[in-house]
Parts: sequence; C-alpha cells; structure tokens
Amino acid sequence: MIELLNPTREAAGAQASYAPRPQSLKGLRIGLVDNTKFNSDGILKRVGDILVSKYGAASHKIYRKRWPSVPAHEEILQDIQENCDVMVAGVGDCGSCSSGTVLDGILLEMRNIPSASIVTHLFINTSKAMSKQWGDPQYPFLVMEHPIANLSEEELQKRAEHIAPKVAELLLTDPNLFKEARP
Amino acid sequence: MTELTALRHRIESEADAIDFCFDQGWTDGLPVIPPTEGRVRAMLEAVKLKPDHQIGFIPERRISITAEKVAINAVLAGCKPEYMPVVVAAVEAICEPEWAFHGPSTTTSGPAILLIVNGPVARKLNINSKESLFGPGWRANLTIGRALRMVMRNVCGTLPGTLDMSTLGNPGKLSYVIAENEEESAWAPFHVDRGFKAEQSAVTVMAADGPCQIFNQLSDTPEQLLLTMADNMRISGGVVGQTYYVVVLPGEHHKVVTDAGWSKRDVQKFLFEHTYNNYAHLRRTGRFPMPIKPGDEYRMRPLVTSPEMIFVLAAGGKVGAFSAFIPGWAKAGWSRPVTKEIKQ
Repeated sequence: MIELLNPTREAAGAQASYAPRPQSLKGLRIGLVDNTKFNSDGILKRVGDILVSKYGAASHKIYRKRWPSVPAHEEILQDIQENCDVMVAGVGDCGSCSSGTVLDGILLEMRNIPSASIVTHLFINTSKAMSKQWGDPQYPFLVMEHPIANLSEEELQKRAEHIAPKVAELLLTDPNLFKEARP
Repeated sequence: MTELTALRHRIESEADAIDFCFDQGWTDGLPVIPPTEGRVRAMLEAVKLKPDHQIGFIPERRISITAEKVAINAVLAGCKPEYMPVVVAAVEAICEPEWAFHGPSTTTSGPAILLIVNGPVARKLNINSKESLFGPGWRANLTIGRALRMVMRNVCGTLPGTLDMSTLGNPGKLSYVIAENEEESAWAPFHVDRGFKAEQSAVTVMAADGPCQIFNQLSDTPEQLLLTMADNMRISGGVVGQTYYVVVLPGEHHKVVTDAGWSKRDVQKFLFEHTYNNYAHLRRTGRFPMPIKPGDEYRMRPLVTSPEMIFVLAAGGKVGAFSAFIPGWAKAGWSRPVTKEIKQ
C-alpha cells in the first residue's frame, strides 16, 4: 500500500459575487470594455447604441484594454465603478481573451457593477474554466457565433441587434435566476 | 517537521499508482513518478522551503502556488531533488506580472515556455547545452521543463481544451529547456546580458514558438551567414507582433561569427537591420488589412523594435552548418521574458 499526495489546486477560488440589478436601463450610463480584438469595438459600440435608443440608457463610453489576454487594468475598473452603472465586455474570440473578457465581468460584478461578458461560441469551455477558477463555474456570460474578425459592417450590425436584448436581460436579471435557467 | 497538507490517496501498489495518476488527469500523457511523502519531502529539503511557502501568485486566477505543490509536481515529472532550485526559480518567473501568465498559457497560438539556464548550476546538474540541444537524452532538460508544465496543468488549470486553447500545440510543451554553452563561447554568458554576474546561476523563461533551423555551409563571413538567418527570420512567428527572438549559434557558425571579431551586439544589429518587411507585402499576405496604400512598397517595418530584443546564445553541437532562431509569442508587451536567479 502506498500513499500519494494530490498535485492539484485544492482550495477553490474566491466565490464570485454579483451586483444588485436595476429595474430598467433607463437613464443608466453604460461602460463598454473593448478587449482590442478586431471588430470587438464595432460590435460593442453598436450594442451601446441599441441600449441607448431602444432601452433608454443615457450614454455609453468605450474603454480599451491594454491587450486582450489580461483583465481590464485598475484605472479602467475604477473609472467604470465611478462613472458607469452597468458594463458590457467583449468580444472574446480567442483562448486568452475570451477568459479575459469573462474575468472583466467577474471583477466588475465584485465591484457592484452589473456586467455582461460576450464570448464566441467556440470558447464556452474556456470561459467556464475561468469562471470555475473563481469559484463560480455557473457564472453567466453571453455567447455569439464565431468568428467576428472577418464580418462586414452590415453583419456587425446584425450581430449587435441579435445580442443586445440578451445583454439587456442579463444586466436586469438576478444572475442566480440565469444560472437556474441554464442546462 | 511541518505537515504536508495535500489530500492523500491510498493505492495498492506502485504500478497501480502510475495508472491512478493517469486516471486522475494528473499527467501530460507520459507516465509519472508516484508522489509519495518521502519523495516530496526530499524535494522540499533540497530548497529548504516550508510546504506552505508561497512561490508565486497568479492574480488572474487568484492562485497561490505553494512549495508543497511544486514539490509534488516535480516528483511527478521525474526531477531529482537537486533540480528543485531551477524549478522553483522558473515558477517564480512565470508568476511575474511582466510574464503575464494568463495570456501565453491560454492563447490559441500555443507557445511553449523556453527555459534558458545559465551559470554554474547548468554544469552541476548536467543540463545539456551541446549536441542535440533541443532533443531528448538529458534527464535535467526533460524533467525540469516538464515539472513547470505539471505545475501549470495541475495547479493552474492549464488543460488542453479549456484554459490551454492552443490550436496546434507545441512539442516544447512537454519540456523546452536548454543551457548556454558558456565554456566554449567567445562571448559573455546570456545571464550577464540580463544583469546577473557570471558566477550566479539564473533561468530565463520566454513564451516561444519552436526552434526554426537554418542551413548554411558555404559562407565564411558573418555577413553572408547572418543574411541566411535574417532571410529565414523576416517572415516568422507572428511577423507583425514585434516580439522577442532567440538566436542560437552552435559551434561552426559561432566560430565564423566570432573569428571575424563580431560581438553579440554586432549580430543583433545586423539581424535587426536585415529583417525589415515592407507594408505592401504585409498587407498582401494578410498580416495587415488591405488595401495597399501609395508608398507601402517602400514603407518598411522592423521585425522587432530594437536590436536587444534578439537574444543571441552560444549553444548546440560542435559540428554542423546549422543554427536556429526562435520567435517569441504574440506581441512584445503581452509577455516579456523574465530572468530569475537560481538560489542554491
């Protein structure tokens, strides 16, 4: 009989927490966290426009991360915390940037900003693995079809129109209810 | 004696234990050495670290990497206890904010971690710097890098398909460790370029593609020889990321260059000056968006932003008209090479 020592991380990450949800987006200031991937800014700005025109949000402001594979740096997190009411991050279309975009959402939820992170469908597993690292494997994020880098202006608009209602729903719904609704 | 806190698993026999490790998903696909308490304690003893000592912290995942977990993974990888100081220094290095763990470990572009070992420790541990530089045959080269990957896999969750989304993978992800051939080099060792003393030992970690070999048996001047190198380097790696490069000059090519009195600085400068691309070509080949603009045929972009970003090493076999270059990962600012002292 021999005894082996476990080589893996045993302590779970900190339990992610969520910001309380507003009743509606009317009059709210929206922070958009662009991960700098090609066309991400185009999609986020269009989503911001729709949230203003159709959901009555007051404004949107785009923040550009230093590079895609890191979480938004402290200055961005602080600025959003002080000057925005809700946040949309995206669009994660690669390994390190999809998980990085999910992390932006986790970090801003912990700072009391309702958040919606968007990744492309081929990176669902990566995004879930990142959520698990933070002790919340069911962390809700939004999924868009892959790829996005080669889309035309018209296609970008369609993508934005398709995802905007889901963004609004996630920003307004208690994430725990979202989790229950997911398989 | 300080208690080891890792969860324990009781297994019937050593042979069953190896299969058990496979079944738990603890291995890279090769068999491992079962991590028993005695073996783990020998690892910790070699670095005189307490089990709960934090070697590194990865903020993007809130992971604290303890000496105990590093020791367990070094056992799995097949390290000798005397390799532990190198493994510990390498883990410290990948936890530095400059190296920025999450990007190079998770990216689709799949870099491995090149470890360059310098100083007396390389000779002491018999880390290969000569024939078959990147090939198998040396326990230290194969198990030190493997231990680092085991830590990433088991402690940091760097698993293929989830937090390692590498499209093609990289054979260097099993282990990618070299030493510099300091004793036969005409130049100061690489770690001295990085700010250490020659008598210190150090390891440099760099997120990198695989080695790309060049062939030139005809040239007897540095200029002509390095033109071959520059020609192969010009379109390599991410091309437009202006990231770091390693250039490895083995015996024959090292001799051509140093017999002519060239310093490392001369090599760096020459390669820097001869690896520009024009913007028209970069657009035509999909590295930058089309269309080609007026003047693009003559507007030039350097492969790296300064000559010092090309690290020049003396290593590899004595015989053969071959050298190699290694492109770093993505863009320079996304992950920078980090050098750490190996404390013994």
